[in-house]
Amino acid sequence: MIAHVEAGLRSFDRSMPEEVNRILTDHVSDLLFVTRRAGFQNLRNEGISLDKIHFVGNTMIDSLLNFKEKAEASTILEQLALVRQAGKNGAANSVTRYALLTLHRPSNVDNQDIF
Amino acid sequence: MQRIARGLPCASSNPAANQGIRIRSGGSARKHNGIAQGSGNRRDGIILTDPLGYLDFLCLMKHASLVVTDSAASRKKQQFLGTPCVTVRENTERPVTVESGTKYDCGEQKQTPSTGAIRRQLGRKRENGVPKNWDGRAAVRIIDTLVRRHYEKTSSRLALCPHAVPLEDRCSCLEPNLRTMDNHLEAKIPKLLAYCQANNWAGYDPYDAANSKAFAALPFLNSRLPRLVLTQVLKRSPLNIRAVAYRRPKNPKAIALFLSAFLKLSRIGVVKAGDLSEPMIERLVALRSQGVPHWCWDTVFRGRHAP
Repeated sequence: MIAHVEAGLRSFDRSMPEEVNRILTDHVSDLLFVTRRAGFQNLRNEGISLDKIHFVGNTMIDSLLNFKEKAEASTILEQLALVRQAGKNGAANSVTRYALLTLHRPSNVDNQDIF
Repeated sequence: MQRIARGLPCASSNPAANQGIRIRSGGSARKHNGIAQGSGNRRDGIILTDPLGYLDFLCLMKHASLVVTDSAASRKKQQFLGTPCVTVRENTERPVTVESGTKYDCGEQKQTPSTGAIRRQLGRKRENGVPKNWDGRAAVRIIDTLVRRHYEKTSSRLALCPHAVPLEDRCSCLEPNLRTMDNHLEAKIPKLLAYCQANNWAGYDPYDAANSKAFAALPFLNSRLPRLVLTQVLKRSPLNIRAVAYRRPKNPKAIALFLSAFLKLSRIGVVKAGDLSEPMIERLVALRSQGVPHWCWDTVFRGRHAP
């Protein structure tokens, strides 16, 4: 028996290898665990029978909730000097305002002109 | 990248952003290579990092004023944490973060939306738009579904399996209607047992004629064709001729199967073992094959008279 966790996600762009993997895996699976309601509709539109599909939620959020507290103990803000030291007036340390950027898609990073 | 950078100084004129915003980039190895070649030196206000671990990244994501990403996974987490987010890609397989309003997509090909999207995001209050079932119990639901599925497929067999009870105990998170055996089946068992007991644990077989004493009494009939005829007559006759003259034999194999069923049923509490199993054991002992040193049983079945 094949079960697919995080089934039903679609970008509708088959030039992405991930998209092809997703569609393929969904169609050979006996049980499809979707993370959100829209996943249901994507799978139904592809003719996958309803009794295979289960709306269970998101395992990524499971792990996030589990590790949320632990992440607060991370010293990464200090390491990157994103924490302002306490002032002379005794104010508590505060986090500098910053934006976090992460890119990995070939379409974003593989071409220097675009990047 | 330039458009994103352009967006950020604009954002700093927003009253909500009273400090210059630092740009941090981090993430996947692929990106790291690209950016190392591309921008090389460390620009003012930009910190380049090696790919970060899960906990460090989570911490940064939580405290950031804005997350700019093309990663679907980061976006989901950011949505959950409530941090404003801009996605840099043309499409998304997870439109849920768009629908619930914590995020705006800005396409790669468009000329201007980055600035606007970033400003909009920074101007927003932090709020959690958390989709249903994103409650940290997805894995429990998955296990629940798998176990339920397993039980549905094997319910009748599992009911008679000694492992059934401990497995159910282990899955105490399951809903109470998940029984090892359905009630319908459970109600039928005592009736069936009562019937079998009333018939002294013996019954007819379609090929009883093969064992008939008639052949011993009338040897000239004891050849292939007459036996075949008698077998088929008995088997197909609308009247049960055997009820008159035929004594139903006690089959040790059948008794052993009954006994094994009692023991299993008593283990899961459907029947009481004591009152039935002991006479069955005695009966089985009495049917032991004679003249052999081992405990064994034999049954006679002349199957060759089957059509």
